[in-house]
Amino acid sequence: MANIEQSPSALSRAGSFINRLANPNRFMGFSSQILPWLTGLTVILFGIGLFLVFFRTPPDYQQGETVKIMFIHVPSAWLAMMGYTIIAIASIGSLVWRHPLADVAVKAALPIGASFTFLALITGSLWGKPMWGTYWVWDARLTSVLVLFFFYIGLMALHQAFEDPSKSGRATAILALVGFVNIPIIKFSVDWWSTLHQPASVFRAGGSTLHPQFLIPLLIMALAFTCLFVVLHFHAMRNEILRRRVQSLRLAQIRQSTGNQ
Amino acid sequence: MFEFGPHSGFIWMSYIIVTAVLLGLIVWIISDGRKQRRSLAQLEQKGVSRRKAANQNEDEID
Repeated sequence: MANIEQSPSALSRAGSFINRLANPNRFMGFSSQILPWLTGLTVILFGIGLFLVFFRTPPDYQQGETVKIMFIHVPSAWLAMMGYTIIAIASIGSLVWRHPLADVAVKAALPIGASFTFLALITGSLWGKPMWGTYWVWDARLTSVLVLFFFYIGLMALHQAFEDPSKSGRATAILALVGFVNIPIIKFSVDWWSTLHQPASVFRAGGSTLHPQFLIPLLIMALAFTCLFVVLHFHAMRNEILRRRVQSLRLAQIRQSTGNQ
Repeated sequence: MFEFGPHSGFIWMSYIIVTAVLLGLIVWIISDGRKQRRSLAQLEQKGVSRRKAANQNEDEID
């Protein structure tokens, strides 16, 4: 009973925190406070992760030293999907609640998510050649990740296609939500279809199949990549807020100069 | 020390590409931030403000 009574207040507190943060000025203040700490944490995590990968992780009994590619390939692939999920959630915020910060979050996440998707494809290809004997196969996992990359590129192009930022924001949000159908396809492609790509080995029912010697460095590297994503996303959002202020001041300048004539 | 067997080239290429792309992204975001802050400072130095323009418009309407 006590839990039932407490949960709405906890929910409403979380909701009001997000609402308060959704104000661009408050976000600028909050992000300027948190970014130095997050940047420091990212550097420390990368230091520990790379030390474990290069000095402590043994070669895999089947893959040999090529298993080292896993520590950058898997986090890149996770963040490619996480980036798109952030974009889809922010798109709902942009379309339903018209939060000014939601479209900023979408636009800022697009090039970052596209970069991580590109890295997942390239490192996967470089891992595939020695392990599978080929750089590329048109199987469900690889093809669906390539489609994700095209979605990122398409959304970036769409956001630039309109002069009116509110129109471009709405169009991008709608297409982003349509493209979200690809995320579960990527995740479950290895279960639904016969693919060359191995099935999930970290987050799966029955626990991870990875030995702790590989799992721990992988999770540390994944955390480092995630912190880097958040740091870059916050910086890119701050840039976008500043860009919109510059644009509105330029418009104000034109209005002032025409008003003086 | 950093010899990773017959597939060393694939491993190094992967890490070099990841480093290059992420560094490129970091440099691009930092330089974009500097550019926006510079533009904002220049406009504010010229005395441009959204409030001023809005007030001017209201005066014209009155």
